[in-house]
Amino acid sequence: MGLVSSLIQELERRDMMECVSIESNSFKSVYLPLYQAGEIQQSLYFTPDTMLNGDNCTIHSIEVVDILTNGTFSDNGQDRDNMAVSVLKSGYIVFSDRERQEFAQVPLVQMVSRLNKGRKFLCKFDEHQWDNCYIEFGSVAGLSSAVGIQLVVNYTPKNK
Amino acid sequence: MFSNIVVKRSQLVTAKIAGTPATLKKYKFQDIPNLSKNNIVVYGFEVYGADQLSISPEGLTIVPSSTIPGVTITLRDNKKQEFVYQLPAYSAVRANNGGLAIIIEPRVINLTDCYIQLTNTSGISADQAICVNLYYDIIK
Repeated sequence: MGLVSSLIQELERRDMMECVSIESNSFKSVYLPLYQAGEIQQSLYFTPDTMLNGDNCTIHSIEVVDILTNGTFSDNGQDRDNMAVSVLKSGYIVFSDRERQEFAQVPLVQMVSRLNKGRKFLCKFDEHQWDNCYIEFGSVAGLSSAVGIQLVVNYTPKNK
Repeated sequence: MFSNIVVKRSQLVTAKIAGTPATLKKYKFQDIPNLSKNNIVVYGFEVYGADQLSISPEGLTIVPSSTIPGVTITLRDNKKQEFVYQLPAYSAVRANNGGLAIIIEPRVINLTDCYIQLTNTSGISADQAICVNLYYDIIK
């Protein structure tokens, strides 16, 4: 028991594990609409968002919102459906820094909280460049201009 | 209240089941040069079946989730020590374990020495793959 608690303390010290509630700072919904049917392994980049760059914030958790969590979202006045898990499971997010060095790959389904017993995908990203991050799909089944991906990003603004 | 791994960096790695699936054969992970550096320590991992990720970044079809109970995973460090030995892959699927990923003492691994084995081949086809997400950090 002592060994386990020592390990937990060491991992917490190194920011590799979180055992306390997130001191919630800011949440933001981000939408990535699909404007065409999509292609296999086409990189779908996020729209630039200065606030979400690593220079300006640290991202603590990200949730991918599937169609059962929230059915639709409004993107510039157009309602789009969120994706079903059957579509999301062929996709993954790639996180990159300013130099486009990729430092994390995460399957979309892993970030759907309801499929992971309500647990959030926890992270500590503060070197990323939001518009250098992208999503790829290994299959085009279910991809169309009527759907999009909604993410909920939990972040802390950096004091400058 | 959250209690889970915090992802700082991650890398999807795959072990391809080349040819006709066979029990006990060692299917090694494909090399990722980024992970072959001595200043990289792995501190957690999780396994995906097709319900979590149906196709790997390399375009390989991931084995059906129903076959995961027939898969074990072995991880070796840079001293050739098998610090995870024949762990049932099922136990490393987050969705099966209260949403928790596996957390380990941080260590340097030798990815091409790490492998999966099949204890049951039914439902698995040739050239499908097992996908694992390795969570790592860089020692500065």
